[in-house]
Amino acid sequence: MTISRTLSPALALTLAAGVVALTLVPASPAVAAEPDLGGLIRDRAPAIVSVKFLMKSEQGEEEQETVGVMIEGDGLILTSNAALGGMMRPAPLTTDMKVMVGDDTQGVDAKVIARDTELGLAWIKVDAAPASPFASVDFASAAQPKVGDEIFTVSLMGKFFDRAPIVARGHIASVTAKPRALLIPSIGLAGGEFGLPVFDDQGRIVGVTTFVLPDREEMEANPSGMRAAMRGIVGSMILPAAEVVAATARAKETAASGGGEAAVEGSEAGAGAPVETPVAPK
Amino acid sequence: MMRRAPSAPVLRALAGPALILAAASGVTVPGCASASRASAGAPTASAPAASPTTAVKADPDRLREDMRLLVGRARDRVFPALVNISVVTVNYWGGKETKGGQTGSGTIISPDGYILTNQHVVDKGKKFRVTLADRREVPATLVGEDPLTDLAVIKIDGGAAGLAAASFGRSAALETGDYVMAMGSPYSLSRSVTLGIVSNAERVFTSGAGGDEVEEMEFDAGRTGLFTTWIQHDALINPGNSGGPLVNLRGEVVGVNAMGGNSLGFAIPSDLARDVAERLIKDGEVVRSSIGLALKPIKRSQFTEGVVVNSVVKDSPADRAGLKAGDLVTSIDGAPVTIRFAEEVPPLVRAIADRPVGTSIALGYRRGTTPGEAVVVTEKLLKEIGTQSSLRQWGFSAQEITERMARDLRLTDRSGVFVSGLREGSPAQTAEPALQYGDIVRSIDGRPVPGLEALVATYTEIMAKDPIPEFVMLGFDRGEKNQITLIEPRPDKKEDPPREVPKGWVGVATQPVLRDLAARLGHPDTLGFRVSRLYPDTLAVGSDLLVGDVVYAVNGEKIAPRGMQDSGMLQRKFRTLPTTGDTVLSVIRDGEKRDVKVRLERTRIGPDEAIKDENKDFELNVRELTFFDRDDYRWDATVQGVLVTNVEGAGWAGLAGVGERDLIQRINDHDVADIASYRKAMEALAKSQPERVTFGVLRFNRTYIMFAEPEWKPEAPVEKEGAAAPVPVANGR
Repeated sequence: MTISRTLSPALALTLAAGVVALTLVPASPAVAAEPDLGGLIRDRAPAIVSVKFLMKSEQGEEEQETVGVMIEGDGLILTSNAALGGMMRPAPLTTDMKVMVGDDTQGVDAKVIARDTELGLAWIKVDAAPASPFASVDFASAAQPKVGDEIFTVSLMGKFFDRAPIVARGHIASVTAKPRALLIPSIGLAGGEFGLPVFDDQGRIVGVTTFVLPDREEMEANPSGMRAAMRGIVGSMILPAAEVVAATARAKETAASGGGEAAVEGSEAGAGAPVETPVAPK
Repeated sequence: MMRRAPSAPVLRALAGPALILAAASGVTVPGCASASRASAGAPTASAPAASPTTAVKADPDRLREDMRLLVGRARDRVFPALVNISVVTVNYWGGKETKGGQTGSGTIISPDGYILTNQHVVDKGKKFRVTLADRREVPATLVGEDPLTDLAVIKIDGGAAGLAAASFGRSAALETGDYVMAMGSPYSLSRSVTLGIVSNAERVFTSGAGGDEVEEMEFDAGRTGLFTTWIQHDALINPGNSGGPLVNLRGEVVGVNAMGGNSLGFAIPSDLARDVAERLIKDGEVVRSSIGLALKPIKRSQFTEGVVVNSVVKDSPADRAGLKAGDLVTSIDGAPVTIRFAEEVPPLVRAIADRPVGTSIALGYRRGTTPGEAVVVTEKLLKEIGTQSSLRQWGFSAQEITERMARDLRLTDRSGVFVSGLREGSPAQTAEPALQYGDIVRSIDGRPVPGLEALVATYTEIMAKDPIPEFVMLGFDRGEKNQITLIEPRPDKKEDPPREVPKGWVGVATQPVLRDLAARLGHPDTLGFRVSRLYPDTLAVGSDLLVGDVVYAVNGEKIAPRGMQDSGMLQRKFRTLPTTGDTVLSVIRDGEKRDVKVRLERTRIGPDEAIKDENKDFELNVRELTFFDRDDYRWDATVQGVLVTNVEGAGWAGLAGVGERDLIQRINDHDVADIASYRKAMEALAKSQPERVTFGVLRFNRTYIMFAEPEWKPEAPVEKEGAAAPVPVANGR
C-alpha cells in the first residue's frame, strides 16, 4: 500500500490504521448446515437389526424382541445385556434367537456368545456366515464429542410399524470419568432404549447407549438415597466407542475360548478353556 | 380348582390344605326332615325317654362313663380301618403339566384292601400312598371314582397283611340328635376323632328365593351332590377329614365326610356310599342312565301333585319323546309321582339314574290341561370333564370334548380337541397365528383329529421322526371361524448360559478410607482402600498383602475415594487390568508406605454363569458351585457338589425332601463333585432305574440322607392326566 507523501504523518497513520482495521474486521459467520437425518438413516439403518428370542426365566418363557447393531460383517452384533434380561436375578436364558436383517422377517439363527454385565453389553453371533458381509458400523473410526455436541441414535420401530428405522436427536449433556468414562446424553435420547449406536452430526460413531448401575458393594454401602446418587441420569448412558472396541476384543476372546462347559474349580471359565486353577504361591 | 354354583353356600371339600369357610348367609335351608322317617334300629345314647312330667333321674357320673365307653368302643371298631391318603396330583395350567399334592382320609371297607374315600381327595391323582393305622405306609391304586357323588375307591397294592375293615351302618336310620363321630386326618393330623350330633339327616342345598331349586355344586371334576341328601352334623371337621368316616356309637360307618366349615359338617350317607363303592369295585365306574330332564318341586307352583319339568336337554331321550320345560310329570311307569320339596328330588333323580341303560320309562305328564304320555329310552350318562393331555414340545394342553362341553360351547359335535392351556413363549403361542385357549383343533397336517387319543397319537408320531419336521400345520376352529396355522416344534435341548467377559481381579475385600478415617489412621493426606479380607484360595493370599493395608495407588496411579459411593472403585480399577500378570499396589502399612506385587487373576464365575442342569425325571434343577457360594456358606475347597436351584415339590426329589439351596454330594454310589459327575450319576440312574435312590445332601452345615422312590416310565412326549375310569354325568342331562 502506498501512502502519499503529501499527507500529514498523523493523517497517514490514521488512514493506515483504518485500512488495517478494515482488513481485520471479520466477515459474517457462516450458518451451520442442518444434519442430513435422512442420509443418516439411509447410511446407518441397514446395520441396525432386530433380535427376536425366547427369554426363559424361573417365571416361565416369553418371546421378546430388541434391537442391536451389526459391528462386523460376518454377523457379530452388539446389543444391550439388559434387553436380554441380564439385570434380572437370576439372569434368564435366551434361546431360539433369530436376527432379522433388513427386510428379512424370518431371521437367521444366532446366539449370545458373551456378556459384560458391568458395561451393560452383550454380543450375539449369527450361526451361519452370510454369503456377503452384512452392513455394519465400524466402532474403530470414532468421533470424540464434547459437551453440547449434537448426537443421534438410529433404531427400529416395533413390528406393528414394520420395524421402520427411527432417528432420535439429542446432545452430549455431560462427560464423566467416574464411575467410568461415559457420555451422558440429554433427556429423551433414544427414548431410553439401550444397545443403540450413537452418531455425531457427521454420521460418525460416538458410542453405544447402555445402562450401568453402581457396583453391588457401592449399592450396599449406600442403602438409601440411591435416587439422589443417580441424579442427572434419565434413560440411558453412552459408552464411548473406544470402550466398546476394547470390550468387544475381550468378548471375542471369551467366545473363542469355548463358551459353555464348567470352568476348572475356583476359576472363571472362558467356558471349556483349560484354565489353570489359581494356586497361591507359597 | 372348584367353581361354586350361584348362591350356593360357600362350602368346600375338605381335602387339605385348603378349607373355605361356609358362609351361612345366603343359604336357603329347607324345612326339617319329614317326621315319618323310620328310626328303627338307630342306636343312641342310652338315656331314658323323658316326658314333660317325668324328671330324668340319671346318674351324671354313670352317664359320663357310659358315654366314654360307647365312644371308645366305636373308636376301636373303626380306628384300625382308618387311613390317611397322600396323593400326588397332576394339574394342567398354562399349557404345562404341574405336579401337586393333597391329603385326605379313607376307610378300609374290605380285608383285601379296598378303601372308600372322596373323589375330590383322589382327583387328578397320579400316585397314591396310604398310611395305615399301624403307621405302615403302602402304595395304592385308583379303582374308580364317581364325581357325581364325590366318592372314590382305591386299593392297596398287592394287599397288606392283617388289614382290618370297617362295617357300614344304615344311614337311613339316622335321626337328628344322634351322636356321631368324625374320624380322619384334619390338617394331616392322622387318627383324629371329634364328637357331635346329627343336625339334619337329609340336608339338600337349594337356591332361589323360595329355596325350591336343588343347588348343583361344582368341584373340579364336575357337578356333584345330585343324588345326595347330606348328613349335616356338628362333629368338628377340617381340611384333611375329607373321605374319612362318619361313625355312629355302634362303630358303624354311617357317612363319608366331604364338606364343612364354620362348625358345620356334611357327610355323604353310607347307604349311597356303599352302593357306589360296590359298583366301583365291580365295574370300575358307576354306570347311570340319563333321560335329559331337570326336575323342580311343585312347592311354589299351582300344582298339587306331580313334579315340574325344569328343563329338557336338546336331543336327549326326553327331548326326542316330546317333553318340554313346564310340563308336569305325574307318573313314572304308571306309578303316581309327586315331589313337593327339594329334599325329595335327589332320591327320584337317583332312582331314574339307577335304571339300566336302554330301559324304557313311561312318563305320564300334563301340558296345561292336556294329558300325555312320553316313552323315553334311557341313555348312558356320560362324563362331564374330559381327560387332558399336555403336548409339551408344542406347548399346549388339550382336553377331550365331552357332551357337556359340546353343549356348553354350542358345538355341533364332539369331534376335535379343546385347547385348554398354552405355555407362554411356546411354539403354539408364538405361531402365526397363535393358538388360543378355547380353540378346537380339528386336524394336523391335513389329518383329522377326531379326539384326544388321535391327537396324542399323531403328535407322538411326528415328534418321533428324525429329523422333526420344521413345521406342523394345525387346523382349528375359533368360534365360527376355521383357521390354519404352522407350529414350529422345538425339541428340548440343553442350553448353557453365555459366559461373562472375564476381567482382572484380586481376591480382596476392602473398605474405603475417607478423609476422617485417614486422619485417624495417621495419613490424613492419603485416602485409599483398607484391605478387610483376603479371600482364601486366591492368589492374593500368597502375596505380601495383609489385612489392614491401605491401598492408595494401583500401578502408580492414585486411587482416592471421595465417599461411600466410591466403595467399588478399587475393584473397578482391577477390572480394567489384564487377567494375568502382576499388578503393583502401593499401600500404607503401620504408617509406612510400600509397594506390594500381587498376581492378577480372572473374575470369578457368578451364579448366572454357572453351568446348570435340568432333570425332568426327578424334576430337579441344579447348578455348579461357585466361588462365592463357598464364601457365603463358609465351605472350603474340600466341599464339593451341585447346588439345587429349583425342585418340584411333588416330584421324586421333592417328595424325598430335597430342597432349594441343598448341595447334592452323593447319589446312590456316585460321589457328586461337579456338574459333570452329577450328570453321569443321573444318566446311570436313568439306565438302571432303581427302586430307591439315596441322595446325600449338605444343607448349610448339616448332612442329610434322603430317599426317593422314583416311578420310572419311558420318557413320554405327552403327559396324560391320571386315568380315571369314565365317570357318568349327572342327573337328567
